[in-house]
Amino acid sequence: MTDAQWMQRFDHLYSEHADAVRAYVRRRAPEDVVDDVVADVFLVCWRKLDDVPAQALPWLYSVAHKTLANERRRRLRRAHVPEDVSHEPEPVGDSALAAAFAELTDADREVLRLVAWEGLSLSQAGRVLKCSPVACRVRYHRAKSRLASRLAAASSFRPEPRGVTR
Amino acid sequence: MRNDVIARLAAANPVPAPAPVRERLPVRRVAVAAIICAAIAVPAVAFGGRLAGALGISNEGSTVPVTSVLPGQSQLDQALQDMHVGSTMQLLGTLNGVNFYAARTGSGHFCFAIDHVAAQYEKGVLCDLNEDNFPSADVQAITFPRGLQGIAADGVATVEFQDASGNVLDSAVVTNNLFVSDKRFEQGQAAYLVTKDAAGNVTSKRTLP
Repeated sequence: MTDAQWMQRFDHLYSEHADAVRAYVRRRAPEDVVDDVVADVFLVCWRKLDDVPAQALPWLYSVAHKTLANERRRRLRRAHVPEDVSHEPEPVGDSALAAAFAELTDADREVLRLVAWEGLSLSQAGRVLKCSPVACRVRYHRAKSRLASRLAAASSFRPEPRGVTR
Repeated sequence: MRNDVIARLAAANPVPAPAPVRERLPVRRVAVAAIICAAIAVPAVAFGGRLAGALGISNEGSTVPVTSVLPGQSQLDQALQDMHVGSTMQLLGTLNGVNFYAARTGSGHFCFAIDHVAAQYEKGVLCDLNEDNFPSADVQAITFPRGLQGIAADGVATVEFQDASGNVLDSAVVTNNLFVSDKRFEQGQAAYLVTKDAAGNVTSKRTLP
């Protein structure tokens, strides 16, 4: 690639995907780190432009996934209270769902987010998570089942509404 | 039930649409924005004052090793290497607490770096990779796109950011080919970079990305 082609490709990738990458990061990290993480993702993209596949978004999400992990480790080293860095945006407007979602493992939450929030197919999610389509499909279905089970368990213990008499 | 779970989760997406950009941008981001800036296509027009192999401006600065330009900023340091900036750059001076460095790459492209020495993240690298790059008749100033921070050709007295309607958003006086302003803008807010001579005549007007 000539310099001009290189720039053109990067420019295209940034204008096409920067908003999606930003949204991905905002769904997983506190607001004050979002800009830095997005910047680092595109710096990696710039430096590894030859490695970026034609379907770039899962690749960019994968870079963002690693960058966020690095950012969390960096913040953890600096934080006086570890809880300060564990903040993750949670499902909004549905407290039962948020509670059940929070009980899942990181791996379960991530595969569900990729499908439900990023709108990826399972094969695309597999590329982000570096797992085969089959393995990703299994992971996804198990995570979905665990979330459904937790929601069902929570609803079966729902307290009766106040003021209701029998 | 299980598909309902995914639909329910999708409906509870905390960021359902692409997010708006934050008002105040950490400047590590500038490096990325700057790279995009370099992708602007400009017509190739000969520029008589350009000196082959030199920076092409009066302020030639003093030579410093490139390793001293952005100490501790590995990503930006790597960006300088990726741009094929050699082993040295020219320290052009300090303006309002910002160090300016510049160099031409082996292929003749103009690159510069800024370092707000007192700020942790106010650092960035920008290269003009166009065919006829800075300084040229059409490219009389080169700046980071989110704020007036850059280098101007000889004869440029002021630089301005203008919006799409031609309203002046910000301006900065050029001192020894350097200019700095504290104002920052969202991407797309500033539509044009305008240069003026000492008499206030517009000498160039470039569209920003």
